[in-house]
Amino acid sequence: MIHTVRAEMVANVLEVSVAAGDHISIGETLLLLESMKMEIPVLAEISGEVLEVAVAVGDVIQEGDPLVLIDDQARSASSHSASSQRGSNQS
Amino acid sequence: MSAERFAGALGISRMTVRHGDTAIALGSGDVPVLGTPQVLALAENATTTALAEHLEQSETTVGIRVELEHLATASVGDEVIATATVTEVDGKRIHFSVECHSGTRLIAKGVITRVLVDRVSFIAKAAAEALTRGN
Repeated sequence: MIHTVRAEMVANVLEVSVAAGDHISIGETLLLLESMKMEIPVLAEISGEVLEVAVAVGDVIQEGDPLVLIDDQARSASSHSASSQRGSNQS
Repeated sequence: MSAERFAGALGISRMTVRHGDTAIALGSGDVPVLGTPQVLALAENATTTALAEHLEQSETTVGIRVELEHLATASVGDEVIATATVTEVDGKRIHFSVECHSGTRLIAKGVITRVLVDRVSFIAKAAAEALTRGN
């Protein structure tokens, strides 16, 4: 089953940590976003293979934009594909 | 005094962040990065720039509503550019979409509404109210 990780807020893309073809595990950092004056890592909530990374460093993303497509390779997974977790506060 | 003539207008304003623009200097926070009040001032300046060439001498606009997301930091020395685009004209109300960038980074975005007024009447009314209050 293919899961789409979507942006939860307007943000700048600071880092892209995965690429198409990568195998990822739960908890792995997919992207590093900048919003609310903080760096916010986007973590995988499922394991699987990255099919596509839809953003690049420097992109400005809007709420709901697709970020990463993950194929969970038919593994059992939670209904959520990813979550954002607040990181270090810059200011 | 219809505001329809402003539809689609675009304004740009830019600044280089100085120490006096920081949150700690403005009193809006205690960190030495661009303060939100100055971000808003820059965005509002872009809205006035958008309208400037369309206004009659007797007219001006005043801000009546702001919704701003301050998303990323800018440091002293950074250049920040605000753009304001008229998205809707509703009677005398003019609605803008605003964005502030530093390089490719989106620093802030939001919406601002201004209203078209007669300059002399507006200033006279404000002065009369101030007198009434004993100022």
